[in-house]
Amino acid sequence: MSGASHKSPLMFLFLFFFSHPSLAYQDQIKVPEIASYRIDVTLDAEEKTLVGEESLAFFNSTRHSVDTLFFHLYPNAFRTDSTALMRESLFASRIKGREEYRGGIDIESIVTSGGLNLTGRQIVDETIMKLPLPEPLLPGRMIELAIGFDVKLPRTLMRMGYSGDDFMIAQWFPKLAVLQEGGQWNAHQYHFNSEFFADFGNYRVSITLPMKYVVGATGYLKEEKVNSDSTKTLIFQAAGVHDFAWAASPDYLIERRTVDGIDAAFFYRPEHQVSVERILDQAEFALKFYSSLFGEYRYGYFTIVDAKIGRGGGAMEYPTLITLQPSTKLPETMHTDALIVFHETAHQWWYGMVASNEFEEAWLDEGFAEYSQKRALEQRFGLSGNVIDLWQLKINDMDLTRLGYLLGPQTDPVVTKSWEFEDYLGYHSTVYFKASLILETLRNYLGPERMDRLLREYFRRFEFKHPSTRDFLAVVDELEGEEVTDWLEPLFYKTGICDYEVKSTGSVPVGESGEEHDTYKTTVELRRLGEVVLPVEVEIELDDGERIQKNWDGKERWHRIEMRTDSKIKSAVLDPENKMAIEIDVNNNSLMRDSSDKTMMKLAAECLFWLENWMHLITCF
Amino acid sequence: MTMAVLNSFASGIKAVWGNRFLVGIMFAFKLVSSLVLFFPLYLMLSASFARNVRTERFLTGMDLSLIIDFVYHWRNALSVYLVVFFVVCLLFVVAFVFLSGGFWGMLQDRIMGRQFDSKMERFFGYSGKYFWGMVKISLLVAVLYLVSFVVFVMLDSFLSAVSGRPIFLDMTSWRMLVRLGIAVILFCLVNMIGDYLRISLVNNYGRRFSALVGRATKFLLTNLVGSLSLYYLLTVIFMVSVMLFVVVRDNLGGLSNAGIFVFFVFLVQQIFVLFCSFYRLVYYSAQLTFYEQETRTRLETS
Repeated sequence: MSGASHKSPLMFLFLFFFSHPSLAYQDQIKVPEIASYRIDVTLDAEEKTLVGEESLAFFNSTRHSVDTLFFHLYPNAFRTDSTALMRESLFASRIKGREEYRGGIDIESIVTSGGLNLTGRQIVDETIMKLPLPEPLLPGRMIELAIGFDVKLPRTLMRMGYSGDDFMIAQWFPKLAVLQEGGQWNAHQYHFNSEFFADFGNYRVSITLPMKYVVGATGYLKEEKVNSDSTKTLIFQAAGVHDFAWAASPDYLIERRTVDGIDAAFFYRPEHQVSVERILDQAEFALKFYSSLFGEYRYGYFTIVDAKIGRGGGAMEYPTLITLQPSTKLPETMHTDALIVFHETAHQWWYGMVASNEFEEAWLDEGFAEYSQKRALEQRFGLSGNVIDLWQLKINDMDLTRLGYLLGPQTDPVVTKSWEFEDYLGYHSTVYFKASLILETLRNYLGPERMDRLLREYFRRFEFKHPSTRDFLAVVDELEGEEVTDWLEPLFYKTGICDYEVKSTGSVPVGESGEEHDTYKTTVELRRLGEVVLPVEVEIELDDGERIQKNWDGKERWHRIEMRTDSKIKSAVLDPENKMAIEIDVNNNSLMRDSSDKTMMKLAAECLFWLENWMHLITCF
Repeated sequence: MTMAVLNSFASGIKAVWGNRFLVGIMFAFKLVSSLVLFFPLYLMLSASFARNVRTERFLTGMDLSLIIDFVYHWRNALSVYLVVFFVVCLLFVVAFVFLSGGFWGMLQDRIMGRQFDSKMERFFGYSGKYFWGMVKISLLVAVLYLVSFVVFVMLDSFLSAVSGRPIFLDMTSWRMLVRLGIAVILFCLVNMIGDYLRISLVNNYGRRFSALVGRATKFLLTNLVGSLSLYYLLTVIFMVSVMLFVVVRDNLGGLSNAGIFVFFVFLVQQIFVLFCSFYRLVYYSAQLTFYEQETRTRLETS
C-alpha cells in the first residue's frame, strides 16, 4: 500500500497492552507477549484483495541479540506454480496455470517506531522474508515496526481465499517467525504437508469491509462502526494467541451459547440450519470434557465457522476459532460431525494453548488432537460404534485410526519435519494415526487415571509455551519413570513396527505313571516379529478352566514359557487386554489348541453368501 | 395398461414355475462359481481365524478390527487374489452369457405354449444358438453401463455445483439420497434395456443385430410406460423380499445354540439365493410375456 500513513506503534502498544478489556481467564495466568499485532485491514470484495497496515511489537525473550527478523509471507505460496506449496500439492496439475488460483502478498512499507524507513531492506524468498535490522535487537528489548502490505487473494485454496462472495482469510498478514532459545529463527517455507508455528502475543485487528458481510474471527468483536461509504469496520481483539484468522460471508447466521462462561458462537449458512443445535451441543461437550481432562480453556470465547474451504482445505483450527462444513442431515447414530468438532476443538489445547512446532513435530498437535477426539467420542457415544452405528455396521474411532495407520507406508518416524515425509499419506498416517495409537498404547499401559494425570501435568507445564517431543518425554520420565520412556521413546524416533505372535502351544503328559491324566509339561512359544519392544502379558487357559497370567519383557526375539500344569492347554492369548493399540496385527495374538469350527462355518457361510450375491450381479450383463 | 403389467407379472411367475429346472441351473451356476472364488479366500481366513480366540466375535457380528488386520496381514496375497478373482469373474460372465440363451429360449417356449421333451438338450441347444447374439448384447450393455456412469458423473458434478461443495462431503444429506436414487434409476434402466434386447433376439432370431436393436428400441419407445411400470413393479417386490430376508436373518440372533444358529444362518442365506435365482428368471419371463402380449395386441389392432 503505497504512501500509507502509519500510526505511532509505541502509542498503540501502550494503549493496547495496558488497556485491552480483560478476558477473565487470561488475567489469571501469565501469557508471554512475544509478538503482538495491531492490524488495520480493508477487504475489497470485488477485487478480492486486502490492503493492510500492521503494527508489530516483538520482544526478544532470548539471551541472544538478533540482527535480522524473519517473517512468514504465506500468501506468496500462491504466487506461481513453482512455489514449494504448489510443487508439492496433490492437486498441482489441476490448478496449474489457472489465474484465479494465483495470489500473493506485497510489502509496501516498513517503518520503525522511531520513524526509520526500512522499506527495501527486506529480502523475500517465496514465503520467507528476512529483514536485516539497522542495529541488533538486544536480549530483553523490544522492537516496533509498522508494515504496510497488500494481499491478492486466490480462489479458495489450502484454507485461504475467496469462493463466490465468501472469504476465508488465514495466514494472510506478514507474520513473525519464532525466535528460539538458541537465538535461531525457526522459519520454513509454506509446504503442502505442513501447518504453522508462531509466538504468542496480543492481537487487535480492525477489518473494514462492505456492510453486507458477517465476520467470524479469532478473539471477540470489541467494536463495530458503520462508515459513510457503505462499509463497516469491525474491531476484534484477542489476547494470548499466536495467529489470527477470519471468515466473511454475506450469508452467515449466528447462533450463540454460553458454556461455563465461554461465549461459543456458530457462524453457519442458512442451508445448514438443521445442524446448528447438533454442532453447538458437540462443541459444548468438547469444551467441558477437555477442560476437565486436560486443564481450563483459557479464553472467554470460542467460534465455529461454516467456511467454504476449496481444494486442500478441510476442517481447520485457529486460535479460539475452528472451521468446518457440517452435514445437513445425519442419522442419530452417525457421529462424523462430532468427530470433526471434537478434533478441532481439541486443537484449542494442543496447538492453541500448548503451541508446539507444527513444522517440525506436527504429531504434538495432530496426534494429541486425534487421541483427545477418541477420548471424547468414547465418553459421549461409548466404545462400540462411536463414529458410525448404522444397522449392523459399527465403526469405532479406534478402527478408523488403526486403518489409517496401516494404510500408511510407515517409512518415516513420528518425529519428522512435515515436508520430509515420503508422501502425504505417510505424513497423515504417521502424524495423526500412529501418534494417536502410541498415546493410546501409553494410556493402556499406565491406566486411564495415570494417563490423565500425565496429560494434565504436561498441559500445566507447557501452557502458552512451545514444547517439543523431548519435553513430553521428560514429563513422562519424571512421572512414570525410565521403564516407560525406554519403550516409548523409540516409538517416536524410529520406524519399527510392533507385532507379537503366539507361535505355538502344547501340553505333553509327564506324570510318574505315564498316564494321560497326570500332570503336563505345557509350553507356549512367543515371538516378537517387529522391532518395537513392549512388555507383554500372556494369558494361558487350561482345559479345567484355570487361567494363568505370565509376563514377558518382550526384549528377545522369542520367548518360551514352560510350566507344569494339571490339565492340557486350551489356549494362549498374548496381550489379552488389547493394550498394544500400536500393534499391526492382532490376529496372531492368540492360539487355540482346537480350531473353532462353528466360527469358521459362520464365516464361511457369510463369505459364500456375499460371493453368491456378487455372482448375481453377473446376471445383469 | 395396468392389467397388462399385472398379467405379465403373474404369467412370468407361472412360466418360471413351469421351468423350475432353470432355477436349479441358475442356482447351481451361482453356487459353483462362488465356491471356486471362495476356496482360496477360505484358506487365508482359516489361517488367520481358525485358532484365534478373538474370532468368536464373528459369531455375533462383524468385528472391523479383525478384518482390518486380516487385510493388512494378507495384503500381498489379497492383491494377487483380487486379480485372479476378476479374471475368473470374467470367465463366469462368459459362461453366464452362454447359459442365458438357454434361459430365454426355454422361457419363450413356455410363454408361446410350445411343448417339447428333452429339456436339457433344448436348453443347451438354445444356449449355443443364441450365444453370439447374447455376446453382442452383453458388449452393448457394458457400453451402456459405461455411458450411464458418465451421465451419473455429470449429474453428480451438476449437483455439486448447485450445492456449492463437493458432494462427497455430504455423505448423509439428501443430496446423497438423490445421488443414490440417480444411480439406481440409471442402473435399472440399462438392465431393462438389456432384457428387451435379449427378448428381441429370441423373437427375431436370424435378423441383423442392428435390426434387433431397432426393434427393441421401437418397442421400448412405444411401450415406455408399461415396460418401466413392469420393471419397477418387479424391483419393488424384490426390494420388499430383501427387507424380509434381513428381518428374518436378524431374528436368528436369538438362537442360543451356536451350531443351530450357524446352520439356520446358512439355510436362510441359501434360500434367499435360491429365491434370487427364481426371481431373476421372473424378470425375464414377465418382460417376455409383456413383449409378446403388446406385440400381439398391436398386430391385431393393425
